[in-house]
Amino acid sequence: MEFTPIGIAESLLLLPMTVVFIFACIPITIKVLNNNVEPSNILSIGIGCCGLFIAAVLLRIQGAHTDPVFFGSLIFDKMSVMVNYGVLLISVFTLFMSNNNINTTGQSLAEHTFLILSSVTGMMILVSASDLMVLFVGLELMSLALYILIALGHEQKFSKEAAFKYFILGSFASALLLYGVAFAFGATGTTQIHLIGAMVPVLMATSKIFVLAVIMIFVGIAFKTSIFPFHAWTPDVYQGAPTPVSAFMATGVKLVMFAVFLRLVTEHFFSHNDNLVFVLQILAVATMTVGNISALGQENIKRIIAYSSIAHAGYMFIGVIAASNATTPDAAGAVLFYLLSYSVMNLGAFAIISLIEKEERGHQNISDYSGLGFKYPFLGLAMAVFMLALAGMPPTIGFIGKFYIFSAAIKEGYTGLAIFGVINSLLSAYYYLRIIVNMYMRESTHSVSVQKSALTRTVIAASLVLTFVYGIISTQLYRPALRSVQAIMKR
Amino acid sequence: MLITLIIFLPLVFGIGILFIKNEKIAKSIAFGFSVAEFLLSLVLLHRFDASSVSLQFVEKVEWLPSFGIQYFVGVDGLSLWLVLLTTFLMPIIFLSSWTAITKKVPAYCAAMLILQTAMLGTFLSIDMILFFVFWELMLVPMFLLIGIWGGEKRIYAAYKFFIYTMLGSIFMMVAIIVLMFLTKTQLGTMSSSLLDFYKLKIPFDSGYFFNPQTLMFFAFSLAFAIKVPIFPLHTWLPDAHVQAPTPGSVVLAGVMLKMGTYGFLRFAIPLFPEAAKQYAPLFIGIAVFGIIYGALVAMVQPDMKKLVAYSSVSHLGFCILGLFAMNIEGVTGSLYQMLNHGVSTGALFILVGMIYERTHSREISKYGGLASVMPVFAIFFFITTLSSIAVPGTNGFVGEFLVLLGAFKVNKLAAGLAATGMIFGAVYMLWMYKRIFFGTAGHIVADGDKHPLIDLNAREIAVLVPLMILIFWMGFFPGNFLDKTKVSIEHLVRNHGQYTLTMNK
Repeated sequence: MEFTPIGIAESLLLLPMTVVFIFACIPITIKVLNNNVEPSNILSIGIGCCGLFIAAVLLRIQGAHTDPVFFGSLIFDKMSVMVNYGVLLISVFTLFMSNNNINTTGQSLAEHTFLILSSVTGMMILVSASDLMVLFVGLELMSLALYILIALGHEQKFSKEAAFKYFILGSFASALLLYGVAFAFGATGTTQIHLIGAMVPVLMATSKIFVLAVIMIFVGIAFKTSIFPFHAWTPDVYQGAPTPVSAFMATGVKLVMFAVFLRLVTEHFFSHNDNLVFVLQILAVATMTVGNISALGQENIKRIIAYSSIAHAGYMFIGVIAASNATTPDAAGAVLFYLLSYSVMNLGAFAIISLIEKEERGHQNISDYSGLGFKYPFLGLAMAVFMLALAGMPPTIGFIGKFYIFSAAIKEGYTGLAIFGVINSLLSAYYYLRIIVNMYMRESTHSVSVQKSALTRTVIAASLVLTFVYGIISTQLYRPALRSVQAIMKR
Repeated sequence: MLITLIIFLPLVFGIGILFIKNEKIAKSIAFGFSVAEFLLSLVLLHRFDASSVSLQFVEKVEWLPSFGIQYFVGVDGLSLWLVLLTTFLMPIIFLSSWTAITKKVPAYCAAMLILQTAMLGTFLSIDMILFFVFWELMLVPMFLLIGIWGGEKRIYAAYKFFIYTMLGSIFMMVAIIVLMFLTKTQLGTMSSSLLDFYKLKIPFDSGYFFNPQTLMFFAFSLAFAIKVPIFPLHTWLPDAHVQAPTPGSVVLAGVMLKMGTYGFLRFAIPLFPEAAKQYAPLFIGIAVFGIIYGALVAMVQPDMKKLVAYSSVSHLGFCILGLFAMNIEGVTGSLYQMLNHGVSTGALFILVGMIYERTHSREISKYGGLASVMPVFAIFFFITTLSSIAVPGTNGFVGEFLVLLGAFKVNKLAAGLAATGMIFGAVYMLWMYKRIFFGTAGHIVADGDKHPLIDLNAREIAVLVPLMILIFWMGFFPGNFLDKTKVSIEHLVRNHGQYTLTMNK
């Protein structure tokens, strides 16, 4: 490769993620300089949000670029811009929620903010990665911050257990991914995604090592997106982690990891091999079904949402499979839309949980939600809407997201997957309804108090508005999603 | 604008009522508003052109352009009366539940009004995705109505209602998406408009079950059959009816069951004409079976509300029989029967609700000799019974007679058997009437001092009188009603296989 020095213009493209990281360091620096006295909650969060906001503005100013930079290792195209917006919004919401959550507020919020923003930096690298090695770096940065975030919860036992579990399994998955990257390098001589993508049709047929590499890369990503059979950690970790962190993981991590999936899929990583495509279809069906069936019997609301997030990963995976052979951006656009819609609904639901829960898994059972609907009309209504949206009822964003996914699947000839998908929506309706039933149709057995938090309520209200607005005028979100995936398909 | 106004005004008011704390004001506003809504729908009726087969008052706005999905509403002879039935029943429901619903009144009013939007939207949507949105939206307020204000086993009934109905609709969703892609291949642009769906030539092979048209016909039929409900899929109905509060039962029986039959009439049969024709005998068979089965099961019910619920299974069997007879008499009778059932079963549920409010018992065996204590109530109940068993001069007679007439032309055996269903109907209704109102004073009437068995008050009479007027009006002057639907039905039946609809400007 010819040597070209890195220009100023190229370096400036790194500004958003740099800004996020610099702002991440400010609260803990204040803490260190101030004799280890914690800055006030609102200051830490405010600095974090400032950084995220400036990053968003910089993203807006820089816009999208079609060519990769830094010798083809990073690309700031429409896809990465759009996903970055999503990530920034999610992390702002997460910080808002952290302010008053029982498990995050208090002595270590400066560290909390630092870790969230570091994780965001990792995510931003991840979605812009056009090289498998950079992808791995981003993944590790994101994950390492998460491991600590989970352990940072005030709960004595559960958060530590969850962190340890996630760490062990996550490292294992990362190792597999890295192993896969190494194999891919061995088979192709490069780690750049689009160069590998160009060789896929030939190598899939000729090189067994390459097939193995693709499978290992798949496993690494499937672990983070909790695709069956790599989903088992999800309920334990989501339950053990502080609720804002669970929300961050369920939405942010899913968003960026599925974005990575889309990048690989549009380079046809997972096509040209009928056996592989068939296995992926089975995994999609299994993911939805296992997630939904396991959720049916759960009593802890965080576990319900965790299992439901597995099921939703299954729906999105249908879209990923449909996108793997597609010539039009419909399927990939549908996945991106679904990711954003799923994030909105989940953030809202987690925000409500975070207001209601108490120390050491207190008030997390759905029986604690009895009678809540009439006692706290706004929270009750919002929760009911999020549950119905997750179940896919119109006119919410959840319905239209499912519509896009299933219509894309039917378009690409996966009608069978679409039918499994709708049957699963039916299954899922039961446990979402259970929460509504508890809130509105049962008398409360004990009094449940709710934390007062303007910031968390803002998150709930914003999610509520987005759930309806983009459910009705979904084109406003679907068009940009289509354009972003078009950008990665053209190359 | 008229139709949009009719559809969405209840929603706006429903959400507004949520913010009212005072129960009495909420009730009054809800009632006053539903009357206004009814008057608005009378404007629709007045301006409706009965000589045109086209869709009228059409409104079309792009919604999701990349999929050809539009906000597309309109009314024609098939949906006009169902819209009026919905708006007519709503004030009656509010008035009848004035004292029956005591907890969370604003939320109740809101749920009812949102439900009204969903029901009207379902009848008036011409775009299939829009239709589906309203169809699903309807589930939520009804789920809450059963679950919050219902009886003892209300939560079980609410789940069952929701899951059962959703089971039907999910396959319809897949079929709609498949049809949308068919419009793309056959008509060039993707569309979810019903008018474009009518133009499709959907591949059909009469020799095999697994061909696109038959599969999609059954996907649609499953959704509608559960809603109607047709015989083996009816098990949610008794639970939902018995557990639902009186207003819930009235809406359920009066309007929501009609969505199933309306779905067959508007979508399943004209969209998939060959498959519908081929499987018509099957539907006629289960319709007849349902008529007799519903009547026999109703006969042995100890609970009044359950009896009325099973009578619905029987009555709606007539609707299905008429629809699948596929001739003008049958379809006209079926449409008329839908309206009849809305009026008479609605009235029956209201009557049962009134007596339940007084005695908190619906067990037939506990009554007896009620006529001597509550004579006015007995008279109203008797008129409604006559309508329900289709005595000439009441509305029920016209509908069932036309259906049987249509059925005789197609299948004499089925018509003959269905006619016995009418006899059974007379048996269970009159027998119930006898056990409740005549004979020796029963348990409840005997110790009347414990339950204030006061006869109907002015409000309750005001609730019932419009229904009674309608029973006779529809019985003696069916022409007033059928004139509006005549050309639409003729157009539908004569063009079986190449049915299309146009729009009026």
